[in-house]
Amino acid sequence: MFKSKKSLVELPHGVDVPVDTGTSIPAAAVAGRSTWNPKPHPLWGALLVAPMLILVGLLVFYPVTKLLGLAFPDGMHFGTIEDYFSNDARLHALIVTLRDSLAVTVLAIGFGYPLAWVLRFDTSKLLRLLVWSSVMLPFLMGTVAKNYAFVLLLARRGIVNNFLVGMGFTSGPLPLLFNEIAVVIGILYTMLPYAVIPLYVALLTIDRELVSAAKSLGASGPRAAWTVVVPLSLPSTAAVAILVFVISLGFYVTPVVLGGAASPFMATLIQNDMVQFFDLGSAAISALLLILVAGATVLVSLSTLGSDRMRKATGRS
Amino acid sequence: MKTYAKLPVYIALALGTALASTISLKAANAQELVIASWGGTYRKATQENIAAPFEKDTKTKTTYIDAGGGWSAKIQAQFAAGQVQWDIVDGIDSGSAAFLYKNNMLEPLPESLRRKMEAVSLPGTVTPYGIEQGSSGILIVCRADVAKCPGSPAEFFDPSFPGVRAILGEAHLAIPFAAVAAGQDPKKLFPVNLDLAFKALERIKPSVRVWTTSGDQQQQIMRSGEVDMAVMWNGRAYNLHRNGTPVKMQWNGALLDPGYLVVLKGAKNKEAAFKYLEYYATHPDQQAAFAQIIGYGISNKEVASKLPPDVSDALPSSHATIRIDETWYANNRQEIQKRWQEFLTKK
Repeated sequence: MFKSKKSLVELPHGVDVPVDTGTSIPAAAVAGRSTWNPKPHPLWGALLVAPMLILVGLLVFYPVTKLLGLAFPDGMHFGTIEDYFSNDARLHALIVTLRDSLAVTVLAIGFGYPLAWVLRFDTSKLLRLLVWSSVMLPFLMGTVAKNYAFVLLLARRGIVNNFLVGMGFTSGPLPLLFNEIAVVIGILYTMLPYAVIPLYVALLTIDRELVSAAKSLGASGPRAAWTVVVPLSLPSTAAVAILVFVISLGFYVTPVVLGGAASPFMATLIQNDMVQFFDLGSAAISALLLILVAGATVLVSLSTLGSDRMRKATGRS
Repeated sequence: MKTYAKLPVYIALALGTALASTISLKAANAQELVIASWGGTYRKATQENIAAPFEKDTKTKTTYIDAGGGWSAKIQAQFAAGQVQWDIVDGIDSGSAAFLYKNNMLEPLPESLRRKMEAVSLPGTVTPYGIEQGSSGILIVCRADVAKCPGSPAEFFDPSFPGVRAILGEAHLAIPFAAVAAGQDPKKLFPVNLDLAFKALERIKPSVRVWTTSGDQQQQIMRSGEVDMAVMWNGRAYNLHRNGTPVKMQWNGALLDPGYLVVLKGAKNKEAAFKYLEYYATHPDQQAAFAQIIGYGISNKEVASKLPPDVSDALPSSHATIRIDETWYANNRQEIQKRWQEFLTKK
């Protein structure tokens, strides 16, 4: 806890006496080391950063500029956007994308937070092992396998419906597949590890002693959790929510396989515009809209939460 | 510190050399005939049954690229980059072919080659820019074991006819099919009466469980019993039949969506590419071997007689079908696209 070589301990009779805390490093050892400095020479620094900057330039700025050119072939016109939205399906796809991604975000935090909590605070090794394996499993499965697993589960004659009908809960099979519910379930399954792992790390940084302290001051367990741990993890939770939301926006395979053609995501629309309708302009506008929404989400959250708290949440001090 | 000062320069040099070597490597392979294909079973079927004997006969080497559809977008991108990388596209969809030809990205066939191919081919299978390969029938397929099967498109589109349905989610196929069901004269199907077609589609929409987004999905929902009947691709139905799903194919009112072998404008091996087209057109045994595996339509007149009846029956080239006019779609895509997308997403 004490970073200084010697700390002062207040004695009852009011005299300050230096006390050795046992963490000190002999001065001779410090002097014997070479003066290694973690700060790189400016040239090396530039060289180390250059590949990334070049990649960002080539893979982000250049394509986005090209996209702008494709989307607005005759200059920035409001008319182009108006034309784009004159097709009701486009607005519909945007709404579906936002709505489903938001649902996934809420559910991912809702399920992810308790799971992370168990991983951090539960003392049963078996339970933690089970939670770890079930959280990591979707990470190890391929996208296609994951989605088809849900097709098998949710189909008209699939496992879930057979169970529901067999047990007499419903009179006939429920329409579980090829709608937005299926899409939200599918994306949620993929995104859960993205929520649990950072939340777990966030909870790790919270000192257990704080809970004990709260309890010793008379707080009940839930109250200690709610008034001490949850507020401390709030910035990280917000960061996780942004991460989950922004990644969900770009999903393509899951909405196609589980959602069907009637409730497309923006990514589906882009694919259809490019491949089926040869309409590169509209595809470019859709892509730019997605980038815009993702960027706006990050900016708005940063400004409401404050960059200071976000920096803490992402681990930079 | 000083001794390492030049290291960045060396690294840059090494990277530059590595990059340059990949470029020259790519140029060395230019003499091979490059065929872009759908990949998977489709690629295997053409590579083993048509390209392999062609290589033997003509001593031309072929290379396959599994590009997997989206032809129009991919080829436009190659032209935009000034780098045409393929010579032939194997089984390009008719919509893409018409669009690319209109935009001057396909090589028109030489007159002599065209005449040679027309002499041995089924009527209508040779166009100014290609010859039919991998043509797809769009037809009603039905699980005869669990449902009553409709006898015509009109019955399929009749909401009082029982059964859970699926229709392929592709505008240029679903709309003409609906128009036929609604009673438009098949001989005068193009231009399609959009109002008529959409009225039929709106009426049947509540009974349609899935608007399929891929051929694989068509198979999967028929196999699992998610739907009782579907308007789908014949090749996928043939695959179900071959793998033991009890499906019945209804060719009455079926459409034909042609696929083509085409040569890209400015192809590096144009002459060899034309030779490949000629080889394909004039070898019915090879075409039959291809069709037996994949179940898609071909061009040669003699193929149907070389196949067992159940295979022959699954091929669109063995039935009277209504040929889709790809120019209708290429010329009206904006209006069709808008109405179709709005129709699909409307609650």
